[in-house]
Amino acid sequence: MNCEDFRQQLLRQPDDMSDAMASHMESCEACQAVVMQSFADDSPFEAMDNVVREAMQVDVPANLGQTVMMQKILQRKRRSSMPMFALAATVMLGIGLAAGVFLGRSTSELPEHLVAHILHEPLLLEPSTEEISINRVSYVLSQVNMELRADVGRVRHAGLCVFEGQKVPHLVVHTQNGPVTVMIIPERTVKRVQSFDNGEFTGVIVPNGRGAIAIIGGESQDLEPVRQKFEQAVEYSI
Amino acid sequence: MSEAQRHTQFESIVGALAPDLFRYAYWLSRDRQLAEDVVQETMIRAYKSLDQLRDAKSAKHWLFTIVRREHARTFERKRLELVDIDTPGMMDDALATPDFNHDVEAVREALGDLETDYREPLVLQILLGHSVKEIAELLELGEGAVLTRLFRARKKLKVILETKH
Repeated sequence: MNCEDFRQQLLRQPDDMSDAMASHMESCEACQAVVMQSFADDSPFEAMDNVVREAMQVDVPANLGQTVMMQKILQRKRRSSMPMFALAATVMLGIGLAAGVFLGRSTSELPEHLVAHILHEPLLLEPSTEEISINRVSYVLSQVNMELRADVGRVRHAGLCVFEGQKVPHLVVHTQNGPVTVMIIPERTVKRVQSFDNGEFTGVIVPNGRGAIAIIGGESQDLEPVRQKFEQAVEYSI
Repeated sequence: MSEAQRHTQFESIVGALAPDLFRYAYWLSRDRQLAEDVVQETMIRAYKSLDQLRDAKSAKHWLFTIVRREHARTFERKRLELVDIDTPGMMDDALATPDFNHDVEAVREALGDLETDYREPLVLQILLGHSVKEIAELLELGEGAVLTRLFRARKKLKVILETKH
């Protein structure tokens, strides 16, 4: 196809482009300029573009630009007014380090840390019918190089928390017997399945790849269905 | 640079682009929550690298590239295809505006049906006002290839609208 053929076809069918036309245009700057002109104002596409532009103008969250600033402010506030349990954890961490033992690496203390973390965010376990998209769950997992390979049921919360000094996906799923917390802890060696029950929370920690998955529910709650789903669904992507 | 100066620079360069970044992320993912997450991550990175962002023009390309890569990081991995019950097609409740307009709604649905390869350059051109050269740089394509996609995107969109409505 030459330039004349290209322009004639463009005139005949201004909203269509055959493979032959595309191939010619991609190597011809003069015809590219002709096509570019067709996107300018008063072009055959102007009326359509105006409607498309309006359709693309989706609402933007009101606080979008402030989110990062808020995070920075909150981080500073957290540092200046550290809750007592966090202060205690810091002191214990110091003692642990002095003794040559990293607090977070002791498997026996993991249930205690998990419960303390859950108690720190009680609103996540309040009654709710909220359900979030599977895309959001995938996104949160991708932040720690993990991915979802199967359905995990109805998820009502997925966020990243700092737990034992690392980023940990913190999920809450709906079950018939109430909410169940799932924390997916990368790079946390757990050699065997560990169950715990402190009278208020029931939990199970299972090895998963290079890390562990902790599933925590209310007193005597059956966690097995949630455990099975997450063990099958969550994998490291790298 | 003091913290106050950083905040001012961040607001003037990045804050102004936040709506565009969100809409771009939205039309890539068609999921508001995910778009918000992607933009948040992009802005955190921008804040950390603020010293390297000299002006709004250089920041623009850099930020859109981060949004694109951040989105791809989530979706280009092999994973099970799941039906997203929050976003059946384009009928996202969050998109409903008080001034409901049937034509706009139909176009939104049609845009949702358009393949990403065509929707993305169209969003960049029509909504965000990028030039063909800028789109080519962002998508790492030749300008001719971008023009082809822009042309075909409009054709496909027209066909979808005529078929469905």
